[in-house]
Amino acid sequence: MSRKAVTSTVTQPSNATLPSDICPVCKRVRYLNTDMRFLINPECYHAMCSQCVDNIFKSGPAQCPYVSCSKTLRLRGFREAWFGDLSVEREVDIRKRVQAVFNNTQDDFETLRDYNNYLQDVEDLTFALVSGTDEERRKAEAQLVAYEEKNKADIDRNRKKGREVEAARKRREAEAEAASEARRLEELREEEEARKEEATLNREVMEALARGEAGTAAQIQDRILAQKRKRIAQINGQTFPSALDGGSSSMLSIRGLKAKRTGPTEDEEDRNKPYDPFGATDLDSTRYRIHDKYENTWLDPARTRDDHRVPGYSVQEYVTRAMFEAFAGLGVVIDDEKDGAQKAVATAGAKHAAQSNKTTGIISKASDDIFG
Amino acid sequence: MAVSPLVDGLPNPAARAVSSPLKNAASAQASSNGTPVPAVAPNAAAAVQSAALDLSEQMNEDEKRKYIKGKKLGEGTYANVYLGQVRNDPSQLVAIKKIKINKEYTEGMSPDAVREIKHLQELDHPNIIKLHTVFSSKDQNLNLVLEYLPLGDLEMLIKDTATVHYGVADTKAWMGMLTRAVWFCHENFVLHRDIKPNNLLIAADGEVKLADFGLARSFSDPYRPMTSNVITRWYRPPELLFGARHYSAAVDVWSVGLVFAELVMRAPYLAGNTELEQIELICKGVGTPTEENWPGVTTLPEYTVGSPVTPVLGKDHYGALFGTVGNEGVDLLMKTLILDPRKRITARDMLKHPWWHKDPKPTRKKDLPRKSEAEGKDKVGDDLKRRPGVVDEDRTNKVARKLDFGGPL
Repeated sequence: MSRKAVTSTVTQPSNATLPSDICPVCKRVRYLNTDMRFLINPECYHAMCSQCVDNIFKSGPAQCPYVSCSKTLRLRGFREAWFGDLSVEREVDIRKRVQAVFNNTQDDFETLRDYNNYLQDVEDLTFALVSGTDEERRKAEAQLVAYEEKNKADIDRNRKKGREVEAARKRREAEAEAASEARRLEELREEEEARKEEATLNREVMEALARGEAGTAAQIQDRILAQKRKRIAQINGQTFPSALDGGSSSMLSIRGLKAKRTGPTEDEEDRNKPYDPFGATDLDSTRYRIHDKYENTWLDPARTRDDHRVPGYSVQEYVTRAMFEAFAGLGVVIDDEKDGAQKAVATAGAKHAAQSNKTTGIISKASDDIFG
Repeated sequence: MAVSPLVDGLPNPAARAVSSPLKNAASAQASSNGTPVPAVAPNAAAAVQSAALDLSEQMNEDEKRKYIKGKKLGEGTYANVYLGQVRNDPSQLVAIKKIKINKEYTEGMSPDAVREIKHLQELDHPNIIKLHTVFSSKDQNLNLVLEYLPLGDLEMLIKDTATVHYGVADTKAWMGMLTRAVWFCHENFVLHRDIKPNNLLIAADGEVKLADFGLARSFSDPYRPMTSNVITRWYRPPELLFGARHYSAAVDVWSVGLVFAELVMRAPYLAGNTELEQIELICKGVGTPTEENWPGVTTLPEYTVGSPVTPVLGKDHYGALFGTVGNEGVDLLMKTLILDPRKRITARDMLKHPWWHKDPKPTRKKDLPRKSEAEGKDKVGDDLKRRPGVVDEDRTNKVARKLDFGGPL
């Protein structure tokens, strides 16, 4: 009967709890087996005692012994549950898994709103996985897998970053711990020293009396006491600042600092940029077009004469240069340059001028469309 | 002499007494376009003249005061190179190249300096050394304030086979930067005419910069001959070796090709000791220029090729020597080393070549192999002080024949 109650929650052990003394599979009782442990498998979260697990799964994968459960389980998958409530155990497992995939931090988002929306989406998905209907779960599962597949690189990078942050935090904590320990020992030592100093008081007074120093016994005692006090104060005074400057840098831990954008990501971006052989420089003229051939009788011998032609003298180069020089001054508006305007403005003006063939127009920086 | 109101703050009144009109002319032309301005004889308009001269002198003085000259980086027959600082921002370093007074050109500046200033001041590109300003110091010495490039040059990296290791990706990155620089020069109608690994300096961030425009000139007009005695011999294309007087940007492309070959082989590909030997090496290492592969070549003034004739070498030959750069790389190299300059690839087409997009991707400049600053500093001093167009003496122990600038510039 109890077996039936448990098996009704195979896929979603919504109110399954870890059995405390009777194994639901073999009915062994804790009273007779004091070292009984209950194990679960995250495939279906059905609890059974470690002996059952050994018996059933030692020889290889087998079906879950729960009647209505058709999951095939493996010995390797079994572990002890952390929570008594197995639904909580399951939810925690799912959340772990979702977190490992959706591991973006706020730094990865442009705005806080984006980040919040993202958190909302992730939570919706998690909820669907934890307590949705079969249909919802399937859908959420598919989404999760698809996202994981698509953003593998990002996920890995974030995970690495997360690990680094975690390591840094651990290191900081360890440092703080060590510093406080050092401080404690230092204090202990000082105290000890002061106590020793005090302990010698009586002896010194006696010695002074024995030497027959000037003054009454009471005066001698007072004098030595005063000296002592000064010395003790000195010890304390000396050691405090040393403890302060020695430990302060490692003790101080500032919270709420925005994590800096880590180097490797920018580096990677840089690395992934496609190579531009022209180095992002475009020198093609925007003001005019060079034709393949210009009719000019003066140029003809340069095209045909052997002393020009054979060593590769290029009339085209000459023509290009002549054209460049002819148009070089156009579109340069000195007033614009004085205003610190971008060169591009001048060039844009020249482009308009060249296109509309009205190069004699008044070029004003305010209106580009006077050419149009 | 009338004193202009513009220059009442002249720091040293004595300096004006000793200054000659020529000095002023030199400084004025340095900051304008490099065209020699004839020294003006004093005449009736002396007051106007002196005002103009003093103004240029004042400007020169202002320019000079912007920089602090530091220690000497190198000394040569042609120029001394000093490390300099910007006065207002001492963290900013510059190289100051002080051109020595040349005995041959007592009448004015040496043409190298004129060329360098004329072209560098016009070219502004990340892969071309930046000329910040020019001023003249005492004794009419011309000072070029150049970008300080502390990490030496490409030759240093090529030669140091023991400690510097680089691969195809690095070669591709360097070639990309070199080709861009040459492309930019050509788009601006400047022939560099002295491309070689030790004119390719390396900036602190790894960027390769084309330097030494001492032999540069702008594209010639038709019927205006140029000298064929340019480009360091090992990198000189066949048309120049055959004495051509009318040539094109293709001459630089040949040099780029040989730098490419040198980057891969880690030794100069065609290192001839004389011009005749250089031609011979080209015949053997590229192919003999003949009427078939270069129609009309026999009409060139100094056409001489030895027998036997080597046919133009094919892909298998280059593949064996330069196969590491891949099929596409060999193809690009072969196109830069086409004998006939009309068929040779242009710098622009080089950048359009598929090789750049093939694996491996060019190394990012910060990841490129480099030498320490200490080693580079000496080298950069050597590079800048050198006279252009000459094979480095300690590389061959043979001094190239002196350049003749008597001909048309």
